[in-house]
Amino acid sequence: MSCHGPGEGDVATLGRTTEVALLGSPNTGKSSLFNRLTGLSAATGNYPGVTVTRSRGTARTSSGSVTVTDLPGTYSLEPASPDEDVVLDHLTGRQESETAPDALLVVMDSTTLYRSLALCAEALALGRPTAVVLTMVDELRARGGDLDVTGLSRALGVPVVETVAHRGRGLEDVRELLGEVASWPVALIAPPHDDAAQLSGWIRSVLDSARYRSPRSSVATSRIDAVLLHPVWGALVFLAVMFCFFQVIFTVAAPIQDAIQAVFDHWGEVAANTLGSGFLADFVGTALIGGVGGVLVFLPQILLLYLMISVLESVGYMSRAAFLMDRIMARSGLDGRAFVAMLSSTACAVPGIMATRTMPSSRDRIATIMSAPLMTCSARLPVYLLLISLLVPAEARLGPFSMQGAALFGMYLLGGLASLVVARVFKATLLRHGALPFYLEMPPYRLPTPRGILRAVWTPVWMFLRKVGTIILVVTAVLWVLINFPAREAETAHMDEAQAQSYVMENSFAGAAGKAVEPVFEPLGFDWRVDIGLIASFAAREVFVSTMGQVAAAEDPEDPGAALQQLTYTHGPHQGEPVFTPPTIVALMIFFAFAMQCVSTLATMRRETNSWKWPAIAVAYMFVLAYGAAWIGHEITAAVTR
Amino acid sequence: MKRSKQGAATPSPVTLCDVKPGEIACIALVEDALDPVVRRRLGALGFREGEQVTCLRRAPMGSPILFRVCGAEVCLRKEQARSVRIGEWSPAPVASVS
Repeated sequence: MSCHGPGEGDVATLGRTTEVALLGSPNTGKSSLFNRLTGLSAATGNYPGVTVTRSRGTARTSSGSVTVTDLPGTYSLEPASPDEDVVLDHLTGRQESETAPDALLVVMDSTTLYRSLALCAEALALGRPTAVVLTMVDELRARGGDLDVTGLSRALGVPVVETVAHRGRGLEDVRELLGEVASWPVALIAPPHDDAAQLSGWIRSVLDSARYRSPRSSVATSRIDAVLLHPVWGALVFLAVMFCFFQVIFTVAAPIQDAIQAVFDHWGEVAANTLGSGFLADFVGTALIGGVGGVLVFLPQILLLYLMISVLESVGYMSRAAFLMDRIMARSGLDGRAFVAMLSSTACAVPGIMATRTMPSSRDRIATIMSAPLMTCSARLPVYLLLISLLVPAEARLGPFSMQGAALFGMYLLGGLASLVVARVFKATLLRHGALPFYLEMPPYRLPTPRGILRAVWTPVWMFLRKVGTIILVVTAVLWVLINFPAREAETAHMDEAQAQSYVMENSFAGAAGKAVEPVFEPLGFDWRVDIGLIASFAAREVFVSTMGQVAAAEDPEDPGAALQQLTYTHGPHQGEPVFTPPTIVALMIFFAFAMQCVSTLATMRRETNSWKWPAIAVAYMFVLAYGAAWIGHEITAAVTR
Repeated sequence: MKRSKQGAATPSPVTLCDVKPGEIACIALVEDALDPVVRRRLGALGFREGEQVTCLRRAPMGSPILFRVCGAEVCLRKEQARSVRIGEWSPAPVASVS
């Protein structure tokens, strides 16, 4: 098996462990293998300048540790886009920031060996110490296929190990293989990967030596697909799945979120009682505990969302759904896979943006990332509910439906349509170049492992908590300072709590800022107090409700409806008139529908696109869109209700 | 793979886009006019000259189309399927195929 001289393949140098790169097509179980080998030591990062990510971790082997890098799944090493250029550069050592890996571990799905051998040929031609891992071998045999591993190893000239990656069988063999990385051979004669006919001949001879028998197509998969991809039944199942998706997120997550909120409210009270009144108590109570609570309140939704997405993905249903949705998504220039990101964004744009990692085309990814935040996320809900209650009476009916419910549905529709249109515009303008042809592989249905699911859920959730959580916390603290300082203890000494708070807020830094920007938002009907709310909601949209509550000196800041209805303009041409008239409310709702008011989303965009350029573009275009559409809404409503 | 004679009444499919669900075709050529990058990507997926392709189903609105090629199931949109020319083909056999 190994036919090299002494010293060849001697890779361990002082102070650096051997690096093995995992190479393979998507859907081969490569990532499961990587996760099982590296456990919790894995970290994901971007290649500089592009959106491609790669993961790196440490695997323990019998002869010490080995660094394992999981490269993005690819069908061929020939690059089709700048993203793929980077991967090839990394492999061949041309990438400045990364050293070329010392050895290659090619992961191939034994059920599609015929196709994977082309990639293997390209890998062998790189002239590096190489070994092969075959996955899904149990499935191969269950479907009537077979192969002789020794024969394959002889034909390829490299060590070959059989595994069932997602069940952990054969894992020890892979560890052993990694332990012997120093003795992996370099291919003596590069397989002919340039000439198509010669390549076919080579592939056939390798398969002959391995006595490879192709598996039958999976009967179970065909039967299930006959239903799930059926034009009528498939669509019905799809709608049912989507409906369950929504229900779980809104119905199941809600009580858990309430429970978390209650816990934090309780701690807030405990803090107030222990620390008494004064700034420290308020800071700890509002900023710290409130801030942390504000982050953790996202947790049930994101957990459930990722749980469902990863179950659907590992079972194989996601590609079926993308198949059904593709025609519709194609109208906005996106592909069927984008719908997962869009759907997730209805809970929160943060996991939605993270979900775009599965899209191979960087152009599509960015278009989706730019348009996903327009989908109505759950943070907008409290704002919509408040504003709708001010606009539409609770008893009003639209046929059998509640008018308020219809208005809410309308906002969802608005967000959805806007995001599709914006994606189209981006694809046609800024993202004109670099198209990849559409393709979608439909893996056979497979039972997911609990371990794989847990990992697929844990990684993004942990990232959310760490990165996004810190940002929300910091911004909450900063806003707390802006709203509560300068303290006006002398002036507020004789006021009751609500009035005092309102006075302080009006004369704080944030208040000054609100008054300063008032002329900007005047055509929309917003007065400086609403502008304070807008400034505060830059951190997170739902903060708008409590901020308005505080500004209006509401008795219950969580339910400021009545107090807000009594707010009147303090100066200007409309002095004395109520602020929250239908035109203002409509303008405000539309503004919230379209404006970028979420630092967490921006932070996630930054992380996923690996630059500040795209978040900056998002802030800019969304502000213009929000302002323009809000103004149109204002004018139309004013004309209609005059 | 069976070779069949087409009667004058049924026009033979020329590209993958014309192959109906259940039919098996053999790829003759991936169009030259196609962007070489696209052609290589199709090749890497298994759509190479001489390969057998089975059309499995089409999406409700005609696109994308699901094929079995090189042991895997892959979808292409109509536009890509149109750029793959086929040679021999055989229609769905009378007995149902799973």
